[in-house]
Amino acid sequence: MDEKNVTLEKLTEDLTSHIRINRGFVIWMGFLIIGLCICLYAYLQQLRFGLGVAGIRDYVSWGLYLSNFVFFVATSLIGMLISGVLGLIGIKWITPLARIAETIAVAFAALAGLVIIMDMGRPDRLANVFIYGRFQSPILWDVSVVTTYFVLSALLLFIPLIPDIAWVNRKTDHLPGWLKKTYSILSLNWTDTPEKNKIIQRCVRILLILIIPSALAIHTVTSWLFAMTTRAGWDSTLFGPYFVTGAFVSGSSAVIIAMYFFRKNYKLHNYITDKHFSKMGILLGLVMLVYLYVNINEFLVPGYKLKTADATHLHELFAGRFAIMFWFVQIGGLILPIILLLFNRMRKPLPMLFIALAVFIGAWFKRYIIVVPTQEHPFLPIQYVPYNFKFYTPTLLEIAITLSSFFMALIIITLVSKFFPVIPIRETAVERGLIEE
Amino acid sequence: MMKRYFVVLFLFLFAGRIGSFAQTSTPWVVPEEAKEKVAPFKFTPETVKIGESVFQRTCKSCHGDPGKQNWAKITPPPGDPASANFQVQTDGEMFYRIKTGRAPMPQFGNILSDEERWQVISYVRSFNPNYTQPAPLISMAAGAKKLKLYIYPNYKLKKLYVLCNEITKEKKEIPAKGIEIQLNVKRYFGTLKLGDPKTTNASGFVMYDFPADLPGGTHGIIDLTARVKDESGLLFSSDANAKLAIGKPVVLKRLTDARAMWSVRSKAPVWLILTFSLTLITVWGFIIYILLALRKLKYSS
Ligand code: HEC
Repeated sequence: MDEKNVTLEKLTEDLTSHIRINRGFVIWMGFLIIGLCICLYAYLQQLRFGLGVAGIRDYVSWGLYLSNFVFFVATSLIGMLISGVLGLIGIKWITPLARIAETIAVAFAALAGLVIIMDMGRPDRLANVFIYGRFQSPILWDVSVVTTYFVLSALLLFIPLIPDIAWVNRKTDHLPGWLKKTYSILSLNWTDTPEKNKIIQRCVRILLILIIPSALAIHTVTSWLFAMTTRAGWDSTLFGPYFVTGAFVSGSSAVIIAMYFFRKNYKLHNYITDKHFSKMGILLGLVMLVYLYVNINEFLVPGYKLKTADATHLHELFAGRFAIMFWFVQIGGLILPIILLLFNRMRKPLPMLFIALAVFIGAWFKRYIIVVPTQEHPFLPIQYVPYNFKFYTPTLLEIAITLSSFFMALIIITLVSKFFPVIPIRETAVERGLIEE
Repeated sequence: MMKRYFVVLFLFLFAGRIGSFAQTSTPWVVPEEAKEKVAPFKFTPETVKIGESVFQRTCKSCHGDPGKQNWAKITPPPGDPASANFQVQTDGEMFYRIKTGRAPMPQFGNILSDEERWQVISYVRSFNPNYTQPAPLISMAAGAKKLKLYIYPNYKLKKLYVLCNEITKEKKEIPAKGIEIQLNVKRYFGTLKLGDPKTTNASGFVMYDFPADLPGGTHGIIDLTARVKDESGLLFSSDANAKLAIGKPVVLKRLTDARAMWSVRSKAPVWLILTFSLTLITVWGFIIYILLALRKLKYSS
């Protein structure tokens, strides 16, 4: 179909047809909610019996939860890369992807906050971080910046949605009353006047600029939770860039996976095209090359000097207890995808889905590799402790609680994408000359 | 041939053990006259009690608790003071060994006074029900003396005088001439010798200058001990102590006094508080601006 000849009606129809409650949606949500309930049961056990139900102990006190936290913060950074960086530069092909990236950013940033609470034996003491928090503590910086980034991302998702919500509200009559009511509240009395458009444009512009430093801050500060200590593997001046570049990798792969399913399930083939996959493939390849470069620095520089603690740590990674996971992550999740992405044929939707999945899973385990292994080798010897203090193995409950964060993120992404247009209607229409700016 | 091979192998395997065995069994020789030395006072529950506190402070880290076999794992093993092996020593042997030490056992000659050493021995002996103390050697051999020390500071002249008196059989004190006196200052562990020993003059005195540059805590107080130096082992004396404010007052600055990264919140560095707060205020200022704009969006027609 010729893209130019679509009428405004057709465009609206295409981009809103997925907004309805169908069987597929009910089954999918049912699956997510049942999964979440099982995991929440696991969390109740942890609330009742304490953190001891998880595998974390005195020496390895940061396990799955903390790795997962880093992963969620990382993935949420993609909103800043796509909307912020590429958007401000004026790159046009991101238009249909911006909202997907922003949705992922909001869901993952929200969950990052929750995941941290999962790691607390006494979540009721969360407020103490603010009441007694020290300005000197990266933990205070982290909670501040995570909250801020979440609010910025939510606004950046919501504000460009306003005209679209009003538009959908006007154009659809078949939707249930409660949904239309929600629409009319959320659309904030939108009318397409130059004055209102100007307000929105100004807000979005401010947000796009703010989101860049705060995204850098959120993940740099997260890296400082580690880098401000002297442990081997964490004691690195490169940790901020290491985390930020890694974040773009996991975030880009998340966007590609989401693109694939939205395009397929919501029939958006004419809007998210092969060209978009190819472009995202190039972007993913690019950020992975940068990440590979940082990785080489992270391993070669200490590996060349081999200070005692670094030597132990690197040996654990390269040939020790974590070798399989490490090489799976570095080869399967980084080097191989880079090579594959060089080929045109691999940047088609289906191959890209598999590559992105590999990268996404690899990125998760990468966080585990960063967080866990070094804690098994503290500077002071581990003495007179039970065996399960020496080596960390996650428990079943711990895994279930960790999985709950993915269920929750998927629920948020599903709800947002189901009830709001995935692709910006107004912006697309303007770009295609269907309405005047 | 084969046999020889095994002998060599045997030697090779066990040489290390034999070597270390040989090392631990080197006898620790105590001179005959020192063996005979006995305490100048009778062991009583009081001396045991003082001895226990000395033991807790200075011996326990290696020898453990007497009777519990929990000495430190070092070579040669320090041994349990309550054990039969330990108790076979004469009082004089113990006294000599505590005084002279043998690595890794430290030399306590300069750290404990004679009196304290005897008190520790009385404590160690309290674990031996079969022990009877040899009669205290007051009826002394030729040349044996009982001495008493006094410290007199003269702040005007900045001099310290140490007087050494001999206690005669009639319990009278007369100046003791030609006795070597060592002046010590107490440190965190053990003592610091102040110069070389000096010999008392005809009136029983030795004289020292005030030490000029010794650090002495917040109030400049230094803890001086005058002690008789006795090679012969025939002199029985107790030390003289004096705590004098003649040192340099040292007020150490605590690491948590100033604002620092490692300090509590109220002592956070100012630049950090400012950077953190101003950044947050700026960003949230913009967020509030945007929220107000949204409000305007809703209510403007
Ligand atoms: C640094 C550890 C250490 C400390 C402190 C220490 N000792 Fe010893 N002690 C040893 C060792 C080791 C030996 C065995 C030395 C040897 O056989 O060469 C030993 C041996 C002795 C012996 C001789 C035992 C024998 O059977 O020959 C006596 C007596 C003794 N210690 C008393 C004391 C007393 C009293 C104190 C406290 C004032 C003390 N030690 C503090 C390590 C220590």
